[in-house]
Amino acid sequence: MVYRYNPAWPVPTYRPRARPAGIPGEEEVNSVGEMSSNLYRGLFVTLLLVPLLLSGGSGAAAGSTNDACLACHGQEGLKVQVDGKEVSLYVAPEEFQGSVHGSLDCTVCHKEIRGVPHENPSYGPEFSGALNESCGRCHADVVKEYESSIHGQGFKKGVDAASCTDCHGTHDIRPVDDPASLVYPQNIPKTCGSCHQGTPLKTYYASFHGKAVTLGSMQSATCADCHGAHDILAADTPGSRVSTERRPETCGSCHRKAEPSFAQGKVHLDPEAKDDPGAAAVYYTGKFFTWLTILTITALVLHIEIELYGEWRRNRKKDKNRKKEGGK
Amino acid sequence: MMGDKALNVRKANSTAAAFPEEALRQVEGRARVRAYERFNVQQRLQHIVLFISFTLLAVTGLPIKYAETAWASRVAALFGGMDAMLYIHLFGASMMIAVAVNHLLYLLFGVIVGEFSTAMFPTPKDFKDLFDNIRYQLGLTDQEPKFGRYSYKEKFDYWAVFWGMFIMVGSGLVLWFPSIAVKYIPLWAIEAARVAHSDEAILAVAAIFIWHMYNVHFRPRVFPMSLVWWTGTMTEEEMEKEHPVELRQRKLQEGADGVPAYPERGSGEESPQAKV
Repeated sequence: MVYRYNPAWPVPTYRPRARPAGIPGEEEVNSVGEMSSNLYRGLFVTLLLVPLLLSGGSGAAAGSTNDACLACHGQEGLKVQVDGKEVSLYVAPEEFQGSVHGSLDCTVCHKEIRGVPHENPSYGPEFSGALNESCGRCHADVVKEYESSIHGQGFKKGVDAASCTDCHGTHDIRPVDDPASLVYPQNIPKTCGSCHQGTPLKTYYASFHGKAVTLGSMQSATCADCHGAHDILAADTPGSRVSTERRPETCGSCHRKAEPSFAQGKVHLDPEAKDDPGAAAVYYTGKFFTWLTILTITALVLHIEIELYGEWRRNRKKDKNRKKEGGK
Repeated sequence: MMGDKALNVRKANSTAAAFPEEALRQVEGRARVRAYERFNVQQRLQHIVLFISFTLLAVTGLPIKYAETAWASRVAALFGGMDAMLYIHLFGASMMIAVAVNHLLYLLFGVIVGEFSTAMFPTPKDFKDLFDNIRYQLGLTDQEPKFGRYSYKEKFDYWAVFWGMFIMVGSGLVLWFPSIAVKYIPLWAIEAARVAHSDEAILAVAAIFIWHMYNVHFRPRVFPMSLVWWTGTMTEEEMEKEHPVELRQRKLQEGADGVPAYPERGSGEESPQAKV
């Protein structure tokens, strides 16, 4: 049987994969972003074609193998059971074609795929590891940096740490300046927050940095501006961007003349936890102003009510007197 | 000249008894347009710059406090995005700091030329006035408290702004220049400053929109608006109701000097009835 994509089959409608909540899908991307991403995509494809043309035009067949893959994987609802868990094998063709890698053959990344049905397909961490290697075929220096990071080291040790696709997505990877990209500044806290929940995320959103980024600031710090991206290291590791040694330099990349004292004291303070004298001070500052506001405004409203009552009482008295006089 | 006018006023009052009630009110209203200055040009300009900067800061600041809400993003979009909105906030802050510094210099100048007034300082009478006013409003007494130059409410407003300015400008500068602030205060104090800035803002906005708007707009005696902020003056009638003690002091002062110490607003003698 020959697997061929039949154009008569219904074209699956675009449906985002399990993206972190709150990141705009393709339909919400503004037209400027779309235009620029189209421009980059065009340039990217053109540049890709140059070596292919030089090597004798063997690229003419590009795309045809993708059609064969999408004949099955383009079918919505295609899935398998792996260790009792359902794994979707569906790839939205439009989503993939709109991604930065849309012009590549499926097998550029899925290089281990052999035959139909595929021989010994891998799932889970094994599959992610193979993909990390695939990314490294083109993005070698980035993957090298990643491998020395806490994510890369953890992944190697078998910890459920982020691989390339956890932060960047899979078939939906978009240019970093595209608002639908998982690593667009406004989306970074959501992307990081899909694993790192709790105090760091909560306190980030409560901070000025977090609030400004939520409102669309392109200048305020995201997670990556302080912690790094491919080179993230644990805070207590020498060389980490948020280590005591490097913190002034990290803060200084935005704040002019960052002082060494930037490194003294905790950030991501959780006032609710009060686990730190500083956090407790922040907590009681909030409590002081909250109660000051409640008591002051209550007293002022009470005063207004008393005056209005007095006004009403005197007017009623005046009306009564007037009626009495009129009655006479 | 002063004597003539005073005579006219007295005439109007004595002859007005013959007029019906409405006409009487009009005559009195027109005749008694002696204007008593409450705020000079410098003070009025300070108030105008203050409320413009206050509004600007509230409108560009509240969306940051409530960043996660849908309306906050819409307000930010109105200003051209968060980054632009923050610059407008900082512009408003510069305006407010300028007017605060100007006010302190104005006070200092007053001390130097010997015109500094202590009328704004709280006195025991203010607490008594508050107590008496509540008794009067509740109908426990018929005696309305008689206020001097500034009533206890006005003193409260002034010192509330004074306090608020210290908190907001102080914490705002820490947030604006964290690199400098961190030299003198620990890192957690910057976060505490953010909390103070964001919470005191709510107190300030609530106080202005509930208390101040009531006192100068919705209070039945001034509705729809007291114009003192613009004209800087009050009529004798208004003075009698709002600041009777000050009115009496001024009249005594005038009597002693024999010359009008205060500018006139309108012209009382043009009132036809007043000339009767």
